[in-house]
Amino acid sequence: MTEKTATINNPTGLHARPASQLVNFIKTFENKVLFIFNDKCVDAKSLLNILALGLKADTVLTVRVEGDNSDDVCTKVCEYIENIKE
Amino acid sequence: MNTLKGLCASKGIGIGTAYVYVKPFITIENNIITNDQKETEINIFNNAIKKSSDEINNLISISKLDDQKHVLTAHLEILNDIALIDETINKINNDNFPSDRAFKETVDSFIAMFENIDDEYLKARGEDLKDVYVRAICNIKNIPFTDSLDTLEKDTIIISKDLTPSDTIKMDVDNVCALVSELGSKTSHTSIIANNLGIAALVGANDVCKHVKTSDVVIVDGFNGNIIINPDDETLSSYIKKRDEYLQHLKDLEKVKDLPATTLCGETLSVCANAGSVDECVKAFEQNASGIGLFRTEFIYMHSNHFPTEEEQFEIYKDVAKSSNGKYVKIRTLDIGGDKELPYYEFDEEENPFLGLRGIRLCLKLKDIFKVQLRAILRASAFGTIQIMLPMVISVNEILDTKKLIDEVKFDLDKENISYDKNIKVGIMIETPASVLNADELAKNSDFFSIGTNDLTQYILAVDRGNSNIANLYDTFHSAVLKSIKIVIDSAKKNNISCGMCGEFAGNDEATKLLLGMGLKEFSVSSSKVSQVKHTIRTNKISDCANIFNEYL
Repeated sequence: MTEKTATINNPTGLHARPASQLVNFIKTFENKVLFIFNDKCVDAKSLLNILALGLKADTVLTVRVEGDNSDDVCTKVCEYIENIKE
Repeated sequence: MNTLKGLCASKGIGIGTAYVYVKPFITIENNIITNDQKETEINIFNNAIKKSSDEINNLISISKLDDQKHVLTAHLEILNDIALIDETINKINNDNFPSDRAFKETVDSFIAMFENIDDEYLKARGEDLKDVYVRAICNIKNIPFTDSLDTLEKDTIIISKDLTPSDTIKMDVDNVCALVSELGSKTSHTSIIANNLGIAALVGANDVCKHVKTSDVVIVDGFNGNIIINPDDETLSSYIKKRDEYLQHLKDLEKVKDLPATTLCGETLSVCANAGSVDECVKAFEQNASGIGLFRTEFIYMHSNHFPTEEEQFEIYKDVAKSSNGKYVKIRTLDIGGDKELPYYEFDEEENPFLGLRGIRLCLKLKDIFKVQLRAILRASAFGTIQIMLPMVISVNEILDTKKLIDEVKFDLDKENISYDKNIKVGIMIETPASVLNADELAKNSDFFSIGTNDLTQYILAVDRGNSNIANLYDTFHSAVLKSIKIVIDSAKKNNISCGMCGEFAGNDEATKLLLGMGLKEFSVSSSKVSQVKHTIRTNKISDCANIFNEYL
């Protein structure tokens, strides 16, 4: 299991289109991916879960990845999050 | 004849036959299933999701509008969301809920989560979820989910509890002349669809489904919110006349677009538009605006994670200048502080933010940041007719201090051999009581005035426009506000500088004639109102309007 933090740089936060692309990206991995924010821990393969976190610009969240290559997958997911731009 | 009330969500008048659109009534009982029923319930649920997905995919393939396709694609993603499906199956397995109850409770918990988020966009996703829910629950319970709006008689008025994208996707739009719903707000789906179609719509019409029957003759008045059921002949014919006049009016406005804003007495005035981005400037000039009477720069600062650099600002101002084809653009320098915050700058906590460090006060305190903006504006002035407009001014010193900074920037630009408009005009917003009382002195040091009625009304009346307890007191037609406006127009005239108005009041239908009579020469409104204001100017004489002012005193 690996945990890393990622910052949302997108000025409008994590709205539908970028959120849905992010979910589709995470779904390409077999691993279980969790987002931890504000005492909530949710399955990141669910668009509803991610939207319900209400992630705004500049928030920092924790990404937890379980399973094989967790370190590599976690880095990729974090990089993806930080590079989201509408 | 019977009259009901609703909130106006889209302008227009619809006269036609009612179609009361009632959605399937779904009851979910609080029963529990036995362990050996679980597998069957999970199958029912999975099949319903599959069937609903197929239905939505089919709608996507027949949809002609991109907007609808996007909404439906989002619905498909929501429907197949892993958390929604897992949680429902958990409730069947662990709580012994039947599939309908498990699904309903799961959806309800998500809707509650969305409604708690302070974000209009995400609240709207809760609406999408409700829409998806109805389709799926019908499939779970094997109730037919009808798309009965797909073939309608000519001139149909659709009366419903609430219209969702699933309802309107197959709607026979050519035959719909008005929409009325019991629920919904001015920003709900019903009003968006009606505005797109250019037909009347009312929302929040309580119990309308109970009072109106399918086939009733109904008049929907999108101007005053009336729904008239089975009108008498007299009412009907007067509304037919009203409707035809409105349609004619729309045609007239279309024609006005290419004509100058010349009054019946032969004086040509300026009708400008307000804008906050390059796109809005382009839209304004498509409407043939005389210029941009207010270009707001705060969005450039608010949508950034650092103070925007000179280059970033220059690129935007340059594009604005280029879009104007020689017409003038008044760029208002950063108007922020108090209630409008920046994510990367910490403002001191203030007890009275509206009376605090904002507008020109903040700019003169953060001189280095202000000079970056002035330099970007000056550089862009080489590409079009740009003017500098200062917000929240209360005294001549603020203008002189700013001009000193502008001179420093000009000196640097000269030294670096960078071109700019050497005669760039510098004017001020009139939005404080002090600027009204000192208008004469300020006029001697400004190239133009622009009256910002939103703040001016708030400061003259000492009424916070965001406070709902005193919302009824916020009134730009108040005689004290109108007298202030008159003082400003007269001072500008006396000192031979131009005077415009860029607040919402300039685009108010009732106010245009009043302001025309008061001697206002430049109206700056949202681009959608340019033709309307121009039409009023073209159909009036200034002398005929001169007395309206006295009626308000």
